[in-house]
Amino acid sequence: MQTILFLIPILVLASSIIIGLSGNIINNFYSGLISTILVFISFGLSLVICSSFYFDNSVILYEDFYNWISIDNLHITIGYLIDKLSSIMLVVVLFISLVVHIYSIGYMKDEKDFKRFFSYIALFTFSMLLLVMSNNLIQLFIGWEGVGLISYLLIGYWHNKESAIKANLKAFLINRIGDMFFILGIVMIYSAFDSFDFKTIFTNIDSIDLNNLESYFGLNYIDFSCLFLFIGAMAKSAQIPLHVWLPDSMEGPTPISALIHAATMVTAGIFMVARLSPLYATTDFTSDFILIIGASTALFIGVIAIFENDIKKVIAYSTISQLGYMVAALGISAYSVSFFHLFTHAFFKALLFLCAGSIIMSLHHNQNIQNMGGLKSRLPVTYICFLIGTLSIIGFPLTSGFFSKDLILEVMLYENNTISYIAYFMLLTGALVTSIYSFRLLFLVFFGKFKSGNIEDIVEQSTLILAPLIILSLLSLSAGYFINIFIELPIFMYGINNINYDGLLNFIIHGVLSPASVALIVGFYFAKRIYKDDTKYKIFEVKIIKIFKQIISSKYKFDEFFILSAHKMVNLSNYFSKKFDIALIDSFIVNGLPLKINNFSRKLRNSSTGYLYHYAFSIVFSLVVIFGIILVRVL
Amino acid sequence: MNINILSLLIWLPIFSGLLLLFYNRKIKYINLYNIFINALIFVFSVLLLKNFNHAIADFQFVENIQWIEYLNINYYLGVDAISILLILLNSIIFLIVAFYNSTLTIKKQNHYYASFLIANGLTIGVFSALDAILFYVFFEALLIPMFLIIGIWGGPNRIYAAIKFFIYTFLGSVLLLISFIYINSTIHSFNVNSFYDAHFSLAEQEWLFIAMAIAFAIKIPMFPFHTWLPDAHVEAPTSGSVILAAILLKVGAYGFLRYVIPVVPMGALSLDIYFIILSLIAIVYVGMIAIVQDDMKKLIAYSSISHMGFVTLGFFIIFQLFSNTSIKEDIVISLSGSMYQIISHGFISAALFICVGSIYDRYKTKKISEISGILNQMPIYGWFFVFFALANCGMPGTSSFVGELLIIISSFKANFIYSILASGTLVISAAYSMWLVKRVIYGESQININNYIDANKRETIILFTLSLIVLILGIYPDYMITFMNATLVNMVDNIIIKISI
Repeated sequence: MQTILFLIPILVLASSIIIGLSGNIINNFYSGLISTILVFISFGLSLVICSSFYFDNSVILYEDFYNWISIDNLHITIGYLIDKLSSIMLVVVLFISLVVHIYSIGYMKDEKDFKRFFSYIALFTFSMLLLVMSNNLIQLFIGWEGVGLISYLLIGYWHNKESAIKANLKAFLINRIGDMFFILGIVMIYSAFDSFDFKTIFTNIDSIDLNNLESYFGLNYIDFSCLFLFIGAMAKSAQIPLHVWLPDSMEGPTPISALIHAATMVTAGIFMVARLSPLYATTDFTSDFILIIGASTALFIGVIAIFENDIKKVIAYSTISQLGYMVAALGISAYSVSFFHLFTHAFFKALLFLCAGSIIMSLHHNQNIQNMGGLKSRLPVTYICFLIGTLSIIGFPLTSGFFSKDLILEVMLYENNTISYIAYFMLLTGALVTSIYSFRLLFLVFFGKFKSGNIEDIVEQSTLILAPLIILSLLSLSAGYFINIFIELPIFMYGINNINYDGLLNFIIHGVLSPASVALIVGFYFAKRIYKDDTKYKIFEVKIIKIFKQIISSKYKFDEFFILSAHKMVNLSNYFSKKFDIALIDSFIVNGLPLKINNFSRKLRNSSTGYLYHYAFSIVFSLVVIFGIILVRVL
Repeated sequence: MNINILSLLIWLPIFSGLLLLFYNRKIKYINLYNIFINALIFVFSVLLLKNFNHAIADFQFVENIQWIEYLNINYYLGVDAISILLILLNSIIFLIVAFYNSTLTIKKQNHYYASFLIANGLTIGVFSALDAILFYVFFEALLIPMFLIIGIWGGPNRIYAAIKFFIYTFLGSVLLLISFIYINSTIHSFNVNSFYDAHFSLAEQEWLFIAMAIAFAIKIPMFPFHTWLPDAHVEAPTSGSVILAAILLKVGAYGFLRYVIPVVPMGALSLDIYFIILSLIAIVYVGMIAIVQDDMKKLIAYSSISHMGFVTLGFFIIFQLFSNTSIKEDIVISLSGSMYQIISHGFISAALFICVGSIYDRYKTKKISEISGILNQMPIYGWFFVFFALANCGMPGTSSFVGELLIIISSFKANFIYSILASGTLVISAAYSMWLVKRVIYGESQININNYIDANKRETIILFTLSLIVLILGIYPDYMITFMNATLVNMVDNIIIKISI
């Protein structure tokens, strides 16, 4: 087992290094092929690992590869902790990565920097594996930063494009704000438990005496450190208000949006909280905070997608919104449910992005959905796949999204308190919103009339691009049937583990009859009337609705807020630099003191005139003064 | 093993440097000679490392000869793990600089190389001297070659920068000398070991601490004594900047570790809060100043000051840790973090200055607003620049993360506020490094001439080596941490004993 677990990340790393440094030795196609094969082997190995967990929940594979740092009692290691949670995550990451590898060979074939791209995605997969497999907080953080770094590099993949390099700087800095809190959270956990190691932390969690630890701002120590860790997750998993980087990250190549900014990296925050669920399960305030953040992200960011016109950005906003669902489930301590949604979401969201990529390619890099329309007949395969993705995301019965989303909505009602009821209604409204924007996208892209040029020019892409779509479609349809694995997923046996689940059939019946289905139908109806049939509703002319629309279209001014803060920071720094560092310290003190000495000496020099009567006068004057003093003293 | 290996390491480069002053004919031979001597020093320092037993905390390779008898001054050399690591850093950086210089053509090339060779020997002298006066002599003598390098081969405003650099650091040294003499007047010895054993009253310790700390604070430099550094960097030639950032700043840090903290710990204990505040100011405020610089070299200079703030923070929180928890382990972690940061910053800043210097050679400007899109014209330099900029902002997997992590860990134990401010560097360093990358490396090229040559083979090898070192130190830090553990534990033991009495 250890060899296999060692090989999984190493093969991917090898792929990255080989492709990255190969220079001209291997041509583009073969380098793509090599790295796909290596990822495929890793994927196969991860299936081996995962299958061994299928029947046995209690097994935990735990080992250190090597000591990263050890000073006396401080041990930081690089190793692995494989349980059901991380083994499933391994499979998801490697599977999506594999699909994206295949897709990219087709999608990126005309790029000059083809190899750089492949090297990056392999390195990304490696970092993600490091994160997923980690058995301690520091390794998790290393992987965490690693995926952020590759995300940064890939958003700025086209480094001549001003918008791309702005977007990647923004992504990097916002993530760094999160990371700052994340590392503080890690350090706090370390101070309490004297270890970074998950196992040690989880086994000592009951024996730790909270009263001995300091509390900050009225929050107990663990609550506070978990809050800090979660702020890190908010940046990575794009939760309000740190979500602003994700829509802009769509500047990167589309396969990347599927891999990094939808299926895997952005779910790292969810994974982290699920991994640390024993800690989070003990928190009150932080759990409520997580719930509120998640629910508001799911609703408020989802709404933005209704008014967005860039096909990738619509899907990006929907990603943020779906992440909100997962986070909300974390807030109610339903970690396994959240993870289940992560699992299904990975497939259908990757599917939607890759479909979008296929559409964008067919339309020669036109991304504005207002210019599309009627593509159903020209891109039949993409259409069917996109339809499946749409049905999944809205939670249409029997698709994968149906199971996971229904479960999230259901667990919201388990706790009888106001916050969770509010969250439930926000998420339910969110389901309506999801339905509206998803169908809007579908109708605007595939129905109606094509609005820019001749529709006959549009052709379906090559098999290399379509094959991944079909594979992902199948999984989007079927992933939900793994529900029983997730129901009894032991995430260190904490959180809600008595989820009401009595058989698949009952669950489906229950789900179909739930309010979510009503939301779905209502959403479909409105989307169809407005975007397909072009019905003009009078209600949109009402002033208050217009104001709402304006607020939503302005994206709540979060971007402006961050830009303003950055400007303020630069201005302040400028002030410091000019007024304080240069004017006060350097000019006034450092250079000023010698200057003053210099001036004083010059004055002194002026007194040495060389005229005899000046000297005679000063001698006489001095004598008078001296004798005067003596006289005064004597008297 | 040759017992006098330390003397060899010191005097071989100095004498070969002096010899080089008289030969100025074939550039090719000068280059070869220069690289050969530096490589030899490198090999010797690796031998030193190999034969060093890091399980023993005492000074090793000791040489002790009477120098000036009636003043009790000895020619006393020896190394512990800290000095060995610094000597190794020193010889690697000088070898790299020798390689880098061999691609240049400048006036009085032999004199230029000679200055570097002499500086090489003198720095090793600083790191291995165990007699305070001997240390002081090397410490001061080191100013001469640096003064010449900036003053002769520097930029347009070089005279101002060189004199500022000289007088400023000299001012500090005077305080240092006075302190040494004062200590000698009570214990009648300049031997470092007897410094460690000496006992002073609290008032004495405080005064000694202030005097010596200012001397080294100027050298490191700490806020508010830092303004000489940006000027010196901007005017210094590329290799001068490399030495300045990678080696000379470390001399100041080494001084703290060797002559201040273990000698007058009580003084440090009672005044540590001021130095912690200054360190935090360096991290946050100087980092912010770095964001708005328009000169690439200035930006990196300010970022150096900010990073050295981490080093001094690691030095001074140990006293708070002592009063809070008095767990020895925490103190060792903090000092290990500082040492790691010292070594790591040496390599990263050297690489950044080489990148900037090479860009300057080709574009004849260092102004950020005048350059953009380097990746289009010089992809090799561009990608190395991105790599080292990422290393500069503490990316895990690179060496700088290790030091920052250890210091943040221990600063949290000292005080929650410290750790919040210290971890602010994650954002601030990312802001200045990556914004610089965005403006200079990415984007469309402003000046479009086809004859910008990318890094040649030699430069690629240099940068590749440096990035490899940075990566190895980041991926497997345990070797170095273990290497210096015994020395640091011993040092901490001594400090604790001294404070407890």
